[in-house]
Amino acid sequence: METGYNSDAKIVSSYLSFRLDNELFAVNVHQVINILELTKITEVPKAPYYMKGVINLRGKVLPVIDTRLKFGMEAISFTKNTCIIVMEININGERIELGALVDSVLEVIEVSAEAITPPPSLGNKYKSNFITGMLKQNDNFIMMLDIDKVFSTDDIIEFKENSQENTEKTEENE
Amino acid sequence: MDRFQKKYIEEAQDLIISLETSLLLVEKEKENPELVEEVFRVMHSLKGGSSMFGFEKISDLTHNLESAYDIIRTEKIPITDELLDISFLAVDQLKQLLAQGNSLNAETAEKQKKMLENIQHVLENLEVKDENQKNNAQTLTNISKINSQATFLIKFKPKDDIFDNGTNPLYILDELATDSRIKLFVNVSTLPELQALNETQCYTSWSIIISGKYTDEDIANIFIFIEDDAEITITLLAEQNLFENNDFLELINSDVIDLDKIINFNKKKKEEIVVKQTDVGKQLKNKINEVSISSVRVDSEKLDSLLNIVSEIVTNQARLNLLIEENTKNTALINITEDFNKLSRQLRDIAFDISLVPLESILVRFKRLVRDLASEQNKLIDFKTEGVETELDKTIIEHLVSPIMHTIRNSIDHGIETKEERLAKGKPEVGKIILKAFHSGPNVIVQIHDDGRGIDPKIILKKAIDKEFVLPNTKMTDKQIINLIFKAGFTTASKVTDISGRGVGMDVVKRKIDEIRGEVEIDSIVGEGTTITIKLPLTLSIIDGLLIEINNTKFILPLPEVRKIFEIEHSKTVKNFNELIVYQGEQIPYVYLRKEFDIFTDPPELERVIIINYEGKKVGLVVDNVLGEYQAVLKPLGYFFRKQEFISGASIFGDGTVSLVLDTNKIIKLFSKKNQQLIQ
Repeated sequence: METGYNSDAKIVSSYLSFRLDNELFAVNVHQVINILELTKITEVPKAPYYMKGVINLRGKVLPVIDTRLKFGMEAISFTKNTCIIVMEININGERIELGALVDSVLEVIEVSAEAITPPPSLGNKYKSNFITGMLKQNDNFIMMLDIDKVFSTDDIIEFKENSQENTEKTEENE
Repeated sequence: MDRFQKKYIEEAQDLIISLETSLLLVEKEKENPELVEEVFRVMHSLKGGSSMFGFEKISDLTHNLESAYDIIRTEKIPITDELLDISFLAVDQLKQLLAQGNSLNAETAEKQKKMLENIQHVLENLEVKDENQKNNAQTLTNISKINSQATFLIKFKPKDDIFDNGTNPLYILDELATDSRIKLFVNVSTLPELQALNETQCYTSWSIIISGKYTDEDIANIFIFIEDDAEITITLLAEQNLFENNDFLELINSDVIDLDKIINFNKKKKEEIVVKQTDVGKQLKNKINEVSISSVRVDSEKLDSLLNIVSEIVTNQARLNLLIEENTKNTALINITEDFNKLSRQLRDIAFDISLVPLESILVRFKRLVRDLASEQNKLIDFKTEGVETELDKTIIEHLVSPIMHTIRNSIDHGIETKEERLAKGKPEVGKIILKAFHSGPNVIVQIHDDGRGIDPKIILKKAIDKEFVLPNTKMTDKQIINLIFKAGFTTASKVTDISGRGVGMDVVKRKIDEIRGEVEIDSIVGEGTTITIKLPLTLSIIDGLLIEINNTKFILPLPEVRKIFEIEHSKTVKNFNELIVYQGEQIPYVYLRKEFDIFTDPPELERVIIINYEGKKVGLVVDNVLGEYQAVLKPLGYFFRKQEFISGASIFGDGTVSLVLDTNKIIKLFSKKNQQLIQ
């Protein structure tokens, strides 16, 4: 359906950016419910190791995923910046809330659609089907995540092939 | 409108179910006039409401069927199989019609057309059958009989705001006019000048003279849905058809109508007082009151929110108890808290009791299924039930329908043999399916048993090996082998029927039962039959729990399963290769939870063994510590932990922390199986 908008008008969306290790990621704020400080997480025995456990979110039981482990990064001990982003994702038509542990939450950025470049198909550096696009901010690239896909798979998603190749690529980019 | 239409739809759904039930009964006793009468009555009530709320298709269908049943009941002839078959089909069609309203999809519209033709056909056959009825061939859909007629005067004055509900009083008049002689007097004296007219108000009232085979109750039934929105009085004028009386006709056709004269007409004429005035509203209310003494209809959403609140109360109560225990020496406060504790426990029990529904409530569908499949496959089957008054949580009941349907279908498709085959085997020619329900400890057991050909473990094993579900040479008991049919993608059916036999049968049953935290098992003896046993929890949301601790993490176990708790030195649990503890001279197998949960920190020197009742046997669970009793409100863990089957859910403590509720049955099953494999 055609909308009445002027085609010159920029479509601007808001994204919440966060950091894991040295990588920057962003998710559309539509899917973010709120951000929580770290609280006591109840571990669930025999769960996949990236499933950190469950917490109480206003009387509901919320699963918490250690995003570092989910993305194949090393576990680190929590800092005062560690927090839980509560998001709502869609898995097979069902709306499911989850908490994602991240190293730190950065900011909400307003991004126009043109500023987002399609995910690069260079080598295997990025699992492009989990990324809707890339955003260049200053000298950094932010990966815009398709969180429905990221969290509906049971697999570990390795965004980085290995650290060595990563440094090479970074040098190339410079 | 919505409110009334909703009320109608609910009512109609109930009526359709009771129609189905009565039909099943009629089929068994074809010459029982009371049962035919019941079918007729239900059909009539359905018709009444439907035309009023604009479900014309329903009223078309029921009207024609009703005519057929009217012939049966008035002529006292036994019901024909032809009519029964079409009645069952009509029940299915009615469900569709109710869902689709008047805008039918092509398929349903086509069915509707066919069905009406078929009913017409049945009617003709019935008439041919009955000589007396032949003469009345033209009154197929308008069967009126001269005797037992009565004439009534109805005063019908809708309230001003009757249109607000979307009710059209004319529908009711239409309904009245079917099957009867009628004379209407419209009273428009209260109609204002055009300028002052508010088109959303009803100004008209009617006086109606009607003659037909009615009782005042039948007429009252027509007004049932608007009893609160109109003044209705029904007066019996005469127990005969006054439209056949010329003096009376003159009276009602004259230019000036005198209602008093009409009312008194018969009195004067015959000097016999047969005036009976009934306030419809009152009469109906009395009727309803009689019913509401024993039960009330409640919106299930309201029930759900009641249960949510009760859950909150229980959580807060637990928190209060803890605080009081730790912090206060104020005896008055302690006493009040104790009283409160008792009250909230009672409240909880009652709230749960309310949401329990007997298994009976879903029985009709199964009876119907057995009937349809049996006649389709030309098998004789006697479907019996035992203990179906057993109650279960309504959510559980809802989840049970499709697994039981599947199971019964399987029993008929693959279990029960044909007549000839049964006789050849020396079995009674009528096959048997028994649906049985009973309590067993904290569980309800539902069993479906058939006396069919049973399941041959050899065939299952061969199939399982072919499909690579098990390795050849695996040692298994017959029961273990038979239970392989619960694995996804397993089917042994040679013939594919509507639902069963597509390899989605028993694994779907198992999955559905798992969803409601139940268990399913199958026993079978070749040539003698098969029994499916479904074990269900009584309720889904609150459990009496035992609070335990492992590695500083609290867990909850269902208390009803716990038999005994005793201490044990850690050294006794580690230097133990066969995983058996001797307690009071008895050898008890145990599961060491620290190990199973992959916890590697140092255990306390003294550990606790909790003896659990597991399928009638004693099994121990070894934990760090036992903290006490706890009423846990169970919340689901959801998608991400769907594979951790041994956890029933989580419960939130008063202080906001979450702890997990363990399913002891599944833990024992899971971990003892694993250990056995390790030993082998």
